[in-house]
Amino acid sequence: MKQILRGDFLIFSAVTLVAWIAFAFFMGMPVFKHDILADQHTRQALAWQEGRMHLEENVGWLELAEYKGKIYVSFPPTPTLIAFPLTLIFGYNTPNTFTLLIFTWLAMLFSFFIFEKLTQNRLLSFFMAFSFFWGSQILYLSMLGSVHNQGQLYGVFFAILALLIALNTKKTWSLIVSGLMLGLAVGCRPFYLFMLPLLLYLGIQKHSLRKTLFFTGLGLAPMGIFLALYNLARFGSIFEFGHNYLPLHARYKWVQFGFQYLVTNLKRGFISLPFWDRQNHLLNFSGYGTAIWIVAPVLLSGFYFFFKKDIPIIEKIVGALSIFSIWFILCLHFSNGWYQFGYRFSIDLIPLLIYFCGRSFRKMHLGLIPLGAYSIIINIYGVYWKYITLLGVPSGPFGS
Amino acid sequence: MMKRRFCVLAAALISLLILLLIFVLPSWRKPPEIGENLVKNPSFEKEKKGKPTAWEIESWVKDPEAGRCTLEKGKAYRGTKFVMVESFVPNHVAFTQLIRVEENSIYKIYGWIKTENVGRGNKGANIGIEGKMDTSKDIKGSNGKWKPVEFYARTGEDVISFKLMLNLGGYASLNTGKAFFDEIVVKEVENVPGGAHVVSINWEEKGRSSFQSTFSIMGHEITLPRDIWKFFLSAAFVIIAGVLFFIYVRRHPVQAGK
Repeated sequence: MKQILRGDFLIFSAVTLVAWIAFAFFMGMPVFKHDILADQHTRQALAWQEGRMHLEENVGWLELAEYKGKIYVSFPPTPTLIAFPLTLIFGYNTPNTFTLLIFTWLAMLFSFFIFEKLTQNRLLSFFMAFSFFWGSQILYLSMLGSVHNQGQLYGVFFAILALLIALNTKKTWSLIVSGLMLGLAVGCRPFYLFMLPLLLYLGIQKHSLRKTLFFTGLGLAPMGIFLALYNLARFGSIFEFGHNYLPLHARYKWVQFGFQYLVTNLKRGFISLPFWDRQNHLLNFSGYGTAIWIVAPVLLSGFYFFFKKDIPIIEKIVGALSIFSIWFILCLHFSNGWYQFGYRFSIDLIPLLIYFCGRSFRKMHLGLIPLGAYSIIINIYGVYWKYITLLGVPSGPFGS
Repeated sequence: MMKRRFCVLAAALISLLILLLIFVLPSWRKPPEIGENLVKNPSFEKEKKGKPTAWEIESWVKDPEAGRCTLEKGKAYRGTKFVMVESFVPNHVAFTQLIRVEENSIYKIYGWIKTENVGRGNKGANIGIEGKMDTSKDIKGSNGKWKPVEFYARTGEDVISFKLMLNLGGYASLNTGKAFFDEIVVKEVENVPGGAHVVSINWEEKGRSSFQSTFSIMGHEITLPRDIWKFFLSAAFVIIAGVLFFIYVRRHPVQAGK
């Protein structure tokens, strides 16, 4: 609480919140309105209120799964848990963009505490927390409360909270709550499950292995059971979220994850460059993804973790296991995140990269300043590019 | 220390200024004359690294093996060069160029097309406008001769540009074969002749091509991406706020974790 009431933190919190909302307005986003373009979680929350798991109507643009004559939301359901209490107040008109923006802002503040805990340097922590959020694709995703954005950013929120709790308390309950938060993150983006080795590693720094395993598992269990039963009740399989019953998958028999996508996704993630659009007189990007070192280089500072000598080798192995497992699976995804600015799947790595970065730096390294500043500027441009120019959005037969 | 802060702020603002210049300079141009051909490099005589300048290529099928778009030399309609679009698989491929126009105006659009082995079942070679199903008449068999095609475009309110497309195939009408294009003209006219084929372009229908703003300074037109100032202003605000916060934290140090 003392940390929260400090002047610099209060200023940081207030300025970033106002700036975030003002920026969203400035870029023409419907901040306080209900976004109808991809409001699956609001619709699912309303269905829950009526005691149903299925939606009453199929809406063509919402990527809804059809199974045994019923319509379901196929996206993992944690964001619906957040939408549920809001729909009790606002009904269908839940301000999903504003809610997402607030959760993202809170996640940034939590990341500050992680940085501060690990670096013991407040200035560096403020800078890195802001750079990781405004200097990555989190910024453009936070501008619109659509279903994909909710999944990724609520996932970041809960994963960061899991890390923060694991780092900050020595009490047994921290293992349970940390596990619960990880479970909620998994309920947004299932691959956060691969963060478990790192959480266990942090747990055994303060508790016995047996205790860590038991209580973290206890924390994970409610969400694991909920997800499994919810999937089973809807699709007859504990592992089926419904993606295989989406019209696109059903029609084209696409495999959602496969090695055949690996090379293309690696190209998009590492060598796809922006280009000067002579027709439109601006810097343009492929809507399928741009190299991470162009669009969010500040994130790469986290990988210094693996080269730092004073970090135990076991911690590096556990960290590598967590992050590269997530990244590898994301690289096998058939769409690489569809139309986007930058490389939006990199967002799933950010909680881990925050931890790595915090472990790697103790003072404001001069190289971090231009890296962070450039990342922030390119992502502000990304918001402009994505939401004002609308380039990268498929138009007629020509996608980007 | 003060000097260092000043340097950081100055460097940031200079970076923004350079970015601004990058956007402004390429768009500096003179306003077009009435009746002037608005198409850049209309007969493909100018080239750079074997590609016609000012023209872009777009393809529905992304596979590079699906076809090719090349600059050809030989029996052109005008000059010595022309372009060819060739599709080995059913596809919609086009050379494209963004054309700056005036709102509420009429334009005559015409050009010359030759084809080889273009499929009969679907749309052949044609000239069109992005987002419009309605194109010039399509050519499928030209017996080795250049055939003229033409149509008119009427721009609505706020329409200041459209994307001209030299197509082989069309929306939901993929085709194979070879199409050749030369001497492409877009010019403003005062009237549409009776019975002419007219395509209306309205802002709402144009989607992504309509995000540019044109304004005039000292007789020159500057075209910038619409609302690009929002990017510069936001970036400047974040940099200045960041530097001020940096200074504040340095002046009011708080020990971490206490």
